[in-house]
Order: sequence, then structure tokens, then C-alpha cells
Amino acid sequence: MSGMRLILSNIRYAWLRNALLVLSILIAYLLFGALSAFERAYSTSGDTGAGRIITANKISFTQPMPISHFRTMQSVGGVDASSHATWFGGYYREPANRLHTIAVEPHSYLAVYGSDLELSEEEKSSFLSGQGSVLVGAQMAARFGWQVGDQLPIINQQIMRTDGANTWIFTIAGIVSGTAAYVDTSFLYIHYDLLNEARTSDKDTIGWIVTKPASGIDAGALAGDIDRVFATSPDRTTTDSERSFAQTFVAQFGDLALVTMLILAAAFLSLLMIVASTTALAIQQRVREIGILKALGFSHKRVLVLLMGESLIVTLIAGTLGLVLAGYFVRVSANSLVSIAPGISVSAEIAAIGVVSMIVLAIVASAVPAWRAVNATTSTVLRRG
Amino acid sequence: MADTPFVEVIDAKKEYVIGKNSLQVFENLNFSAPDGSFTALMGPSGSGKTTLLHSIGGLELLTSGSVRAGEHEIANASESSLSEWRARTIGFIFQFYNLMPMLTTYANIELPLQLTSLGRSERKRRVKAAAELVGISHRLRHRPREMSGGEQQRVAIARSIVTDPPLLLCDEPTGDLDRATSAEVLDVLQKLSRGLGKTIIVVTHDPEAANYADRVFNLNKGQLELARGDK
Repeated sequence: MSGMRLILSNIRYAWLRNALLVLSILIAYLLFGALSAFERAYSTSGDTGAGRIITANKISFTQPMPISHFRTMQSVGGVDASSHATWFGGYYREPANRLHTIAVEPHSYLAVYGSDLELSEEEKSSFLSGQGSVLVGAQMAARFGWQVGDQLPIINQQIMRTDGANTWIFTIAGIVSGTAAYVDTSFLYIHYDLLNEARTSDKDTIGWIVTKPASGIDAGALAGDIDRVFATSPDRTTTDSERSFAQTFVAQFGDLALVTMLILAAAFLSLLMIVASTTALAIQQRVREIGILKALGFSHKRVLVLLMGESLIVTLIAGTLGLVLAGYFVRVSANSLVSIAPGISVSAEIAAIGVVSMIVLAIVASAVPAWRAVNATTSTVLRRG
Repeated sequence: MADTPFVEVIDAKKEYVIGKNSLQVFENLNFSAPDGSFTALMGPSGSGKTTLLHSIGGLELLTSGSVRAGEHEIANASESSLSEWRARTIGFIFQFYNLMPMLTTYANIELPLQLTSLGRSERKRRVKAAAELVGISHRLRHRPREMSGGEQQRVAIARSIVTDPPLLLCDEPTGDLDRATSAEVLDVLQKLSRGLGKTIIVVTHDPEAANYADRVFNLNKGQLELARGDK
């Protein structure tokens, strides 16, 4: 019988207590893995590496800007390409099927984002040729089972049409895939001109302008130049990186990073208390066994190793299972999270932090009760019936 | 039985301090047990029999005085050397058996061998030999809760002798057993003393159990007196 077998026998003997402890730790590490993956993916969301910058209304990106801003911007030096986009939204068949629909100026938009999108020449010319043509991201197409050539009735009750209708009929010109993991393909691109002509209000306004700096131009300096151009305009602007813009967009639903961190902290604090109290209770219930081991000649050090080893094994098994499950859930839900947490995964770094925290947790939770039990008076314990 | 004392307690004093109060168990106590002897320690509850036994085994430290067992002086020993010595020299047997509930009979008997460098086959041979000696070979796969008190005590005896220690310290080994089972357990202890030359010290309330011993001491009000046998 080796020390490891003795530890495993102990774990098996108190199987119910250990099963519940494993479950608690597993859930905590499931949360840790999933939330850490989310927090990291979310923090780097919009970080495309393309160096693009976004100009929006200084009051809020939800406030429109005059389209003249886009024309004015063409005169700003250091711009390689720029385009504009406007939120359309709407839903397909029923309100639950809300769509991420953006009205874009097709030629310039594809010039700015072309490198992110996988699109055949045929689909591209089909999209550019007709105002009713739309491009659909692969994820959205897969979600609703849409095909190229399908007619899409999109209902939008926020934007009033001049003809009084609230249904917009589009034709799918192409289904677009992303060329990189960060590209969200749960979108629908429609023609801006169609929207602008058909709507009754906010005519000749746009949502935001996206700019690709020319080679060798510092994006931060260019952003400053753009905002200075509109500094005296009634519609002042704020220009920032795509990443900041994407996070501002998501932040309208709340500070997700903060919420994530708070949940993580709460989960870990609860976990530490559960593991510490369960371990303390378990060790306290075993003072007689500890006394027997000491009477047989087991040294304090050896008994400490056995007790802390048991805590370590239970925590490592449960925590690793939790991380594996987190990896599975993250993989399964990666597609639906791509818009706010692109490229989400339980990385090797998260796993390493998890394992180190398991070791620390096991040691912290068991060290004090184990030390106290080992130093308890053996003689008194062994006299009890 | 040789006359050389294997265990020697000299001028022992034991006092428990609880808060501001102190309780003196014994003072100026002298005791010895020759190599290979079978000694019984009797006395009323609270007289300090178990305290003396545990002091000999290094589970408790004396307030003053010295304890020597074999070549080992207990008073000045570090915790680690005391543990090592205990594993090599002493087999403990308790009233309530003190077996590991999660382990089988085989694993319980094998437990002290974890502290040795013996190979697997030698361990197996020793476990089987110890089980055979105490008549518990048929229960090797059972756990303590599946066995009677007498059988559990036999397992405890087998565990105490599996490392072949020269000294067995038994604290009320028959205190929880019926008369017939007590006799069987005491027969085993006597066999270990007479057949294998183990030095055995038994703490007991039971005069019939004491009858198995070569020497009987009475401990009462801190005074240890020889009741029967050679000093």
C-alpha cells in the first residue's frame, strides 16, 4: 500500500462528501474557464489588426451624423479609404429573430473591409448592381437557412417608410465568410441609398464612418486630425480604434468585463470558503485516523503530505474536469458569441492559470486544518471510543 | 526472559496543566520491563496507566524524568526521530482497535510496512504471516465494519507485529471484548511473548487478563507497586 493508494482509499471511502466537493469545484472552474475565455475574447474584440478607425457622433454613436461629414473627410490627408455605415436592425418573420443589419455604401465599404470578407466576383458585382441586393454573413445565412437568390422580407418598425410599409424586401446577392476568426459573419449588409431614399426621417444622415489610414500614417494622429476638422461643427465627432468602437457598442448592454470579473471573484470566494470549510471538517473528523498513523510511526511531515495530497488530488481532478467542460461549452457557443467575443477559447494560458490556482487553493484550504490536526495530542484522540 | 530492562522509566513525573489548574498524575515513578517480559499494569480509572503507557511509546511527553526503550532515550528526541523509532520499535494495540475504516484487513496490516523499504513480495509475505499468526487469514479482504470486535482486535495485533517490533504496548486490548474473545486475544499476546520474545506491556482493569502476564503492577494515587512477579 503506497501513500497514493492510501489517499485514493480515503477519497473513495468518503465518496459522497468528495463527490459534492468535486461538484462544487467543478462548477467554479467551469465558470472560471468560460468567463475567463469570454473576458479575454471580449477585451480583444474589434482588435482586427487592420488599423482601421471609426468616427462617430461625439454625443453618442447612436446619434446620427450628416452624410456631409463623410464627404468632408475625403479631404483629410492620410486616408487610404473610407466608408460609412448606418444601423438598420429589423427582424425576420418574428421579433425574436432580430437581425444585425447595417446599411452601407457598397463600393467604399467593400474597399475598406474587402480583406476581411471572402466573396466571389460574381457575388460582389451582384451586390453592387442593385439597391435591393444584400450580402449575408455565413452565420446568419446558416441560422435561417438562407440561400443566394432568396427573397428576404425584413420587418423594421423603427424606421418609417415613405410608402407607409414596414416590410423591406431584399434579394440575397451573396453569402460571405470571414477571412479571420475575429470576423463576425452574423450580419446583413444592405444599400444605404435604398434606406435613405425610403425612410421618412433622418434623411442624409449616417451612423459612423470607417477609415483605413494610408500606409505609414499613424492611426492615432489621423483620428485627431479628423476630429479637429469637425471641432466647430454642430455634430462634433469622436474617432477611435475599431476595438474601442466595438467595445462601446457592446457596453450599451452594460459593462460586461466588470460583470464578468465580479462573477469570477464571487465564484472563487465562495469556492475557497466551501473547500476550506469542507476540508477543515473532513480533517477534523479524521483526527483519530491521524492519531493512528502517528502511533504507527508516520511522521508529522508524512501525515501532512497525505492530508494535503488528498485535497490537492480532489481539487485537481475537479478543477481539470471543470476546465475541460468549460472548453467544450465555449467551443459549442463560439459561433453565437462571435459578435461580442470573437475567437473565444479556453487558451493554454487560462488552463495554466487554472491549474496553478487549483494548487494554491488546495494548499491554502488544507494547510491550516491539516497542521492543527497533525499537532493535536495523539494520546487523547486514541483513548476515545 | 532476559533480565536486561528493555524499557526503563526513571523518576517520571506527569502533570497536566489546564488553565490555571494543574493535575498531577504521578511523580517519582520508576518502572522497568525486562526484554521479552509480559507485564500487566493495573489500577483504577484515572490512575495514569494509559498515560504511563503512552509516555513509554512517545505519544505523550513526561513533565520530568526519563524514558528509555531499547537504545532510545525519548525525552530529548525530535518528532521525526521519535516517529522513526516508533515505527521500528513499537507495536500499539488499543481498546477500540483503531483500524483504518476505509482499508481492508490486508491493507490495515500492511500500513506500517509503508514506512519500510521492503519490496512488494516481502510485504505480502509478512502480512500473510502476521494474519496467520493471529488467525485472521480468512478475513483479509474484509473491512473493519464487516468484522466482529474480536476479529478487529486480531487485525490490530497483526498490524502491530507486522514490522516485527521488539515492544508491544497494549491499552486495554480486551476492554471491549466478551470473556471468550478476550481469552483468545490474550492467548495470542502470550504466544507473541513466549514464542517470539516480544516485550509486552498491557494496561488492563481485568484481573483475568492480568493473569496472562508474568509481572503485574498496580498504579494507584501516583504510586506504582509490584503485585506479582519479579521486579
